[in-house]
Amino acid sequence: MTLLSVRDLTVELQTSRGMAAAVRGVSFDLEKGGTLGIVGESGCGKSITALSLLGLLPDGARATGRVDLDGTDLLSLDEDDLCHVRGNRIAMIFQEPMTSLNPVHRIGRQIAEPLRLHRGLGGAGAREEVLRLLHRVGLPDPARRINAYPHQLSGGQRQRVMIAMALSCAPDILLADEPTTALDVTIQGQILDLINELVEDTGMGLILISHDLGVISESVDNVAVMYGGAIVEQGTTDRLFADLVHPYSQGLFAAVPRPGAVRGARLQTIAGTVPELADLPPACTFADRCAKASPVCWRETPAMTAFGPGHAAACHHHERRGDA
Amino acid sequence: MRDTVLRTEGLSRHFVLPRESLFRPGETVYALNGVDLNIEAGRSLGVVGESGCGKSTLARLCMMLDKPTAGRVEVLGQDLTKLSARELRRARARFQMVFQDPYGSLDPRHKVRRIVGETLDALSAADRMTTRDEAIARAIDAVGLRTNDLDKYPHEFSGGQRQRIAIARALVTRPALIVADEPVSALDVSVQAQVLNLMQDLQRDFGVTYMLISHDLGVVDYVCDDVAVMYLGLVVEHTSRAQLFARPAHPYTQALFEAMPRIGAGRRKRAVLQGNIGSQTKQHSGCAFADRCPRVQSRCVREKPDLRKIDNGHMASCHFA
Repeated sequence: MTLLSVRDLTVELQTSRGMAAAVRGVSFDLEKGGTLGIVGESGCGKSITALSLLGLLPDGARATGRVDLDGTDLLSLDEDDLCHVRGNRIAMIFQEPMTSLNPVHRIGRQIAEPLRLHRGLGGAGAREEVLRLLHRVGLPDPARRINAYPHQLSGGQRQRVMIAMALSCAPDILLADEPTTALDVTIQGQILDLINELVEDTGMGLILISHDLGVISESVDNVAVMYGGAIVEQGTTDRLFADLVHPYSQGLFAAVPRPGAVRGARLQTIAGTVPELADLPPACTFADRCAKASPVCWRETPAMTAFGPGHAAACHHHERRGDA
Repeated sequence: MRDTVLRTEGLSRHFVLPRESLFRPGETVYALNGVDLNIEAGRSLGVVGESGCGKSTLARLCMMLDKPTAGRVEVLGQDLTKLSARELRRARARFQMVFQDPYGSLDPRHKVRRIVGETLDALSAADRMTTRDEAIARAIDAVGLRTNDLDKYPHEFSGGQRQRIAIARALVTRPALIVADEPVSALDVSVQAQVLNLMQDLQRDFGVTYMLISHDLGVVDYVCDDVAVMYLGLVVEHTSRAQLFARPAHPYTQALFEAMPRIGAGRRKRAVLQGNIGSQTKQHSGCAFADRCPRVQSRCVREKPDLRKIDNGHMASCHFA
């Protein structure tokens, strides 16, 4: 059953050079209990996509399209109704657990806030629930740590607190925006394991946003690759990584250094850098960096075309590759 | 026998924290606890470890940006800890550094020409006059930027280009050693690959030797010939990259490999370490890794393992390696 359906989501942001589209016609579905990974480099629109689901876009931003959660279009909700969605139906964890926790409040109080607002718990009931949540996310010695301030915890522990807060109202969807980017690799493993375990146990859906193909590949069943505000390739994790179709996905994959590779082999690079939003090519946003680009790429926006079961890409040139 | 570019002996750095009570002295952070390293010319060394392992402290000490509590640093046979400030300034032409953040490490009010040329001030006045413009042009060309970029300001460049400028600044004095502290971790994957390729080219064309600090095993593997793995201020394993990736000996190195996300490996549970890196304010009587080690025995808590030879050119500090 489809829980979240995003159709033609376009978000325009105010920049110093006028309105520029940060997200361009993004469509995806999330099944109940499904897991989706959104992968891409900085400026590809992955975070803006996530923020628009929660109505947290910056001032002056304009979002069009549809974001249906169980039949309700989230883009049409007013601030009061959105408050019922945030934390309650869709919860979010951010990249930097230090800046997303309030430094002057004890963590117990911060985790209790959504319990108070959405579930009407208070006093002893809230405290008990906070302890249960802290225990659930594996924070050692919860009874003592409930009174700790964020600065007294390590990065991994702070991320566990963020996850406890996100879990507090048993959301339908957990939105995790680069949840492990600020963490060390062994701690990253612990946090990703915890997120996966919680998704399996509670049956909530997961949207995991990351720049790291490895993290995505190990954690979700479906993947969308974004570049320049558009989804350029999407599919099930197995099929997508078995046969990358879009030149950008291929380039991203080839650019990652892998330990144990043949000595002297050079990394493949993608020419140039990610352009600013206002400078993105009008049709296919990857046209100016793509080795295969031809005039049609500058004229027409490529449509998402099925490339196999559960695998689609938006590239004018991928049929030709299929023939060869 | 090749020249030794960098040698450290028993290098330690302890920081004393401000006291929190009138009646107790401040705590001590044991950031680096006796590191012996040897880098031969042309054999770049990668230093890998997680935050708090002392890898950045090591880099700063090797660059003499900080004074060691104990031990010595030799660059091309010269003991840097014994030099006067004046002599050190001259010596700096032979070892240079590239920092992690290309936004913070370039002065926003200076043009690229001045940023790159500033390191030449460390050279003697005579050298400076004759070769300055030529040296700057050569360095900027070597990192793949154009001469007319010299009259621009840092904000006109992207992150990857700024890191190229930082590399040009390090390269301009033709140093034997470049210490690079997480040079690509602030960059996007596609740009990171460009900078790593550049670093590899410069190694070949200019004969520079790197000490590359990184948390990313893939990055270290790509640029370096040898790898040292650090944990809580100590080197726990040191060997050639081929050995390390084929036969990691220390349980911590093995855990690092295990935790590394792999593309296309499918959903998996990462058999990882429990808990966090231990406290840096504690001195360990046994193995510093004992409290997280999956193979821990009672001996590990009692007895500190030495960094010992376990195979040809392969050192590890574990009782059971």
